[in-house]
Amino acid sequence: MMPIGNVVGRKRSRGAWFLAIAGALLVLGWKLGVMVPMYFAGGRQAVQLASILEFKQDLVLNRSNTSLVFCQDTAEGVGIYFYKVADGKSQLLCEQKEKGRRGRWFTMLGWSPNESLFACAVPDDEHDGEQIFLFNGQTGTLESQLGVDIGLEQFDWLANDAFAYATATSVRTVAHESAQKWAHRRYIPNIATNLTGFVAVSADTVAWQDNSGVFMLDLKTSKPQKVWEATTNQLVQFTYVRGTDEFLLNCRDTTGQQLMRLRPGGGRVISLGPINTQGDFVRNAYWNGRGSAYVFLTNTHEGSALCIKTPDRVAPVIVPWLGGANRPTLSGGQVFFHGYRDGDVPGIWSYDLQSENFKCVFSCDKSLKKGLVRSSKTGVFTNSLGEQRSYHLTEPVNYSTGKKYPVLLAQELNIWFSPFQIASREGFIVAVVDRPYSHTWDGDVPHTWAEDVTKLYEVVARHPNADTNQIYLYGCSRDTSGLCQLMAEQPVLAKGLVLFSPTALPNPEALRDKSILIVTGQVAEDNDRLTAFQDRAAQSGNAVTLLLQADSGHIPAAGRTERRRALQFQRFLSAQD
Amino acid sequence: MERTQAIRCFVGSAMLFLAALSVALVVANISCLQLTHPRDPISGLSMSLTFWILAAIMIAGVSSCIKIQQPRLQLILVLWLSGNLIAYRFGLLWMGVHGVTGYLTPIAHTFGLSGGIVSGLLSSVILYLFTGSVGLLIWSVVAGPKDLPLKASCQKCGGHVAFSPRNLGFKIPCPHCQTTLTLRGADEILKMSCFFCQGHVQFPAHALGTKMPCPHCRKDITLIEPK
Repeated sequence: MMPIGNVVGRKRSRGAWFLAIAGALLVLGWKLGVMVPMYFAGGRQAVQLASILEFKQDLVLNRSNTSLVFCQDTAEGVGIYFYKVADGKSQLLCEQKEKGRRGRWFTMLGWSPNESLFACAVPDDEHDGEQIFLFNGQTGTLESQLGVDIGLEQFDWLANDAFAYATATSVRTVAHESAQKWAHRRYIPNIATNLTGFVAVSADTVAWQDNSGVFMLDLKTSKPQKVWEATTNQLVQFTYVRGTDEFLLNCRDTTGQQLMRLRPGGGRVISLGPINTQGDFVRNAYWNGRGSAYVFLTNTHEGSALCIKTPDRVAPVIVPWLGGANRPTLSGGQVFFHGYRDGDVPGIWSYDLQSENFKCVFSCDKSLKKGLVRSSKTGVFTNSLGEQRSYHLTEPVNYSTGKKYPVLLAQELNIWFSPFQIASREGFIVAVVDRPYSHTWDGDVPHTWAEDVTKLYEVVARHPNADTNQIYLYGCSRDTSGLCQLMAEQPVLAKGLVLFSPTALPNPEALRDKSILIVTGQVAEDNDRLTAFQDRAAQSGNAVTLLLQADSGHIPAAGRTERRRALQFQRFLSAQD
Repeated sequence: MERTQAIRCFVGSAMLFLAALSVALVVANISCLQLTHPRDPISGLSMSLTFWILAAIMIAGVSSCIKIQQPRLQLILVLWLSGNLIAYRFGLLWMGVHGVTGYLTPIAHTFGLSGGIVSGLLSSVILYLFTGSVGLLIWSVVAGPKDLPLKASCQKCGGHVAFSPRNLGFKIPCPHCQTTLTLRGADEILKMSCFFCQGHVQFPAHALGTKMPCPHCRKDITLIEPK
């Protein structure tokens, strides 16, 4: 027997099903009809931009500048490439996968004295050690491999068939035994407390900097000898110039920075004069013979510049570079660096000291250049500490003068960074103050993130199209401590925060109605700290988007993890009002 | 608009909203699988799990609404669902949560909306469901059952048919056997003559088609529609 009301009920239930399905389809339609096209418009571009792989570490050139070894991100991690300048072809020598990586990336050893070999070390996380790879210096084929049971920090060639490597406290030597076999020879432990700048002076002698002193070690005797100590000044950088058999000492005192020369055999320290003509703190200069030539990066009103001292000039010259640059290397009559021109993809560039011309040696995929946004304005301001800073302002794509745009404020080294391009494409005015190249994280120079960004905000607030009610702050790694300082001082300044790999987090209870994006590697971070922050921030009424990348370290390196971060960043920006 | 029609429209819209919301929760969860969600301060569960549970409850609510078909029960179900969501919101307030925006991030990101808009939309829907169900329940209680659907039986096949009171007296083909039948109220009194003794017989409309002894001659007769 049919139940009561069954017939009418069936008709009604059809209508009810129809409505329920309509509701479901409405949501799915929104997702597929609006969000998917949005993904193809913004997300695909973000993924493309993040596919531009960044360069890392120093460039290593042979003496004739015909072969180059560089380090660049790969799809899965970081790779070391062998590049023949004449052929224009690069060859992947070895790759370190990002997944499961715990510590550092590669350590470069460079070419042997006769350039027959090239070596590098890769951390072996499974065995808490390293693998040293020796490649043919001409062809790039793997010649030999050697396991090391400690994490090495630096190394240098003693001769064509021997090299030494060092940890923070010890030195070990390796020599060629037969055909493809290399073996450990000597181990000299506990000779330093904080060994840096490790160099081979001869086949039997090595030298290093340990805090304020310069030490030498005769490998036969195993007894280190202090050859010089900074007493009235501070030793910033220590270099050995093999060609002239001299130590170059970059020292700082109250008057500035001086370059000094010292022979390993002892004797008087000879001052080569001041190096610091730009007011920069010069820490990572690349020196050449007798200190007569050197190069370091500096910041100018237009952006970056190479500060180059050549033997035929009394004072260094400033060579402007309209874009970002990093890791300059002086080799022969040329300066090599990796960087990008404004509106172009990054690559490896050379600057010829003779002809004074820049030349692109190696470039990322040029087809990606089409979608890049150029800086619309560069300028300089003085922060509250009285220090000058250069900044770049990029207006959004499809910029219209009658409209207000949200603003992303950041302080970053002037190097290639795809998230700023993504923000411009998402309709943000991107204002970035250049972190001085001389600022490192070892405490030599106090950081000024909060002061710089506060001043940058004042500059941007005068922009007629900047919506000061929609200010977003970006901070990466240790920059986040400056960002937290600023949020503590001015909690209402920003509507949102973008924190990549944060080392510091703002007080969540002091935040209200903020949109916060946190992206970090799950391997290296204290996840409980981040999830606890997310819980507390959500309770305070803040929307925290937290992406923990399971197979990434502190900062993503592989193209895959970089793309995932970029996509999340794009989605975060597109969801803002 | 009649009360029955108003209830039907409201329940329909409630089902639409609930289905949309449950699908939104499921899609948001799937889209944001990579993200870490905050914990629900009341249950301590991850918001991702809370979303799955909420979506399941809402889908069950929609299915129940479709099955039940009793307008008043449907309203009670919608009221229960929306009331629970409002109670949950007050629970969050009691726990010191200043706004729900932080817990709706996956939906905001999935659908490209700001947290504020998602929060506003959600609050509006819940308020609509709550006030709508309360209002219509009060209306149906105050106005009495006159608008509630009536039921009739086919005298040939015995199949039951529910119909609106405004269709009372209409002749329709029986949806089960296609025999023409008149829609009558269950308590309507019908009259007929006994086939054998021609004595008058009175009976309620719901007894149509049943067999009973004639009160006059005691012979079994089938109660049929008067001619």
